[in-house]
Amino acid sequence: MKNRDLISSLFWIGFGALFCIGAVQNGIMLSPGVPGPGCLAFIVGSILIGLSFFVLIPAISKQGKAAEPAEAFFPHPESLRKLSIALLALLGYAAGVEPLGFVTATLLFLFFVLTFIEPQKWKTILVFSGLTTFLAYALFTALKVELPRGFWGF
Amino acid sequence: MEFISHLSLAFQVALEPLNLLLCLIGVFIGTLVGVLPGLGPTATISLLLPITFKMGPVQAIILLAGISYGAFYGGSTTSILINIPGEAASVVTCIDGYQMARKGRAGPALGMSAIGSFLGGTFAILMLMLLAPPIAGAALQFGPPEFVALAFLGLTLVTYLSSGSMVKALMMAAVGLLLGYIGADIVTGKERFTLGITKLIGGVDLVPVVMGLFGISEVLLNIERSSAAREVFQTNIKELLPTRRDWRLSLGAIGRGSVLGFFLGVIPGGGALIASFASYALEKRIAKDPSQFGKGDIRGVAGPETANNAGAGGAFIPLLSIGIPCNVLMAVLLGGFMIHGVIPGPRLMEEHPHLFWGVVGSMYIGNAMLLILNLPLIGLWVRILKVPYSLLFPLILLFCLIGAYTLGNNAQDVYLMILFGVIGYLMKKFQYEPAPLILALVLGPTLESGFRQSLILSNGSFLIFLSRPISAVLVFTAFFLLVSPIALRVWGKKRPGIPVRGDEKL
Repeated sequence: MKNRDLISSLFWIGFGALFCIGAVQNGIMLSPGVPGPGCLAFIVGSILIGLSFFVLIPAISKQGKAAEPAEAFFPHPESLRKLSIALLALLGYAAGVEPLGFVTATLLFLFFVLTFIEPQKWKTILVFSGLTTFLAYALFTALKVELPRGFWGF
Repeated sequence: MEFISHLSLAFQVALEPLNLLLCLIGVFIGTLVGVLPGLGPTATISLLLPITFKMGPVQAIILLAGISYGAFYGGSTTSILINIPGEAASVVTCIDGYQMARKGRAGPALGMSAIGSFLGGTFAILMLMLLAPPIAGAALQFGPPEFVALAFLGLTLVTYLSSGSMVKALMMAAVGLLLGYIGADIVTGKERFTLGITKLIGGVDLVPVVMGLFGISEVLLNIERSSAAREVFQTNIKELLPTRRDWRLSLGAIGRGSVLGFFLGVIPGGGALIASFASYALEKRIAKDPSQFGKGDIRGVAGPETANNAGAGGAFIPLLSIGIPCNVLMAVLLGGFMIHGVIPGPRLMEEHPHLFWGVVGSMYIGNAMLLILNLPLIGLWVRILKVPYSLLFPLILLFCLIGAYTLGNNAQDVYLMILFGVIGYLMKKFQYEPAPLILALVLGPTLESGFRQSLILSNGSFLIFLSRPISAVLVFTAFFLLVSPIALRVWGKKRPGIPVRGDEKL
């Protein structure tokens, strides 16, 4: 955990510092007594940096000591593969939903996820993908929610 | 007399056929997400927000509120039958509920849980009707310094009551505030921290952030583990009504759970989760035979289940009467109000009486509906529990994707949601809690506008927050909460034997 604390605290120090720099650029005070657009961001960014040291210092001071048992970052040998596929599917849907339209993108998304993350039988994949897409389309159309049509028109 | 007229208006609005139907749909979905582990009410409300766009505000809020309090009913089913809480507030119900199921008493456990939930929820609504108007009246006297102090106290309490490290919770509150400052400045209109992205000029939308942190990240965490099937406890659950002995044991627990849960629900940072734990601890402490707890004592089910529903109802008071959400679920519900152009707060009852009283009326009816849904339909929920997660998670992901897309009919919100999904996943791995971040993101603009107005009023003097009595009390309380863990640590080191929060809990 100490390594994770080290990494995360350094990240938040950088994050806070970026906001502090941006706050100074935006102006901390508009005039004497009148706070500017960067005033609170500067204060909160500084607080974040300060708090991060409370996580960083113990992490550094215990670096050399015996490592405490911590859960592996990926708890299963398949974890990274499954996560990568899930993210790929999500990003693919985001990129494809407008050009392909709701129906095609949803069908492909479900087909992909059910085939590669937790592989199902072909029959289950086809029935589940088709039925879910149809029901989701019918539900959102009935609720008058505008769905992307793509070049197929649906 | 005023109470009667409010009650009459409440039921007049709530009993309109469409409102009645939406209330039923809301509590049904709420129970469903409560039953299904891996999808909580916070994510569900955010991903269902788009379907309310075409509804009026009264209908939308009745539906969303139904989901929020309905989830606490369903959560107990999984706790009792599979020893996995459907949502966080039902964690404590696992202890004795599951032991009751193992002893063949799943029916009375489920029955008492539903009855306790009904009584606790109804008590909270009654108190909401009685207390919200005077609190809103008092809040009308609040100026910018009081609102800043209240928001500050709310954030402090959320971090103080967080389950992990307090420093990390404070850091997340700071990150949430910083994200809230992205976009055009409220006073000068100047673009801040947008990195040139046009979409961010209007600020970081709450809904994709919540969907990412609570929906997508949860799915990512679940799918990376091996797909072990959930085993539903095979037992006779036909006899749902508790015995006379069960009633004798539980009535006190229900009464105490109602009062304790309600008050813990009202305080900022409180809510159903803390209420259920506090009730369990109280029941165990005052029991003549505490050794029975953990072995299937019905008081360990009745008290926490009553308290978490009373807490869920109580949490509506600060939101509806002051406009300050006291937990992340209420923060998302606040987002629902704002999407429909309604700002909850002291003027809500005057400006939107049909909305306020209609929602209150629907909560009475919704609680009765939940009792009916949860007792005779228990077989249905058990069957739903058997649906494998490998078929559920694609549905959750799909609803998140559609929900994010339909917010603004563009893919940018979807990318934002995915980004926060990954951030939420990493936050869990690095042991940072998302709740303070969400609450700070919601309270950020209120805090900033109030802070700047206050400083303008005082010509730049920070003493304005200490020179007004209400704001001074709130600020001192917040500082006391911030300093007390450190003080306790120092004192505890000097006097061995005094329990203090550990390193991680500073």
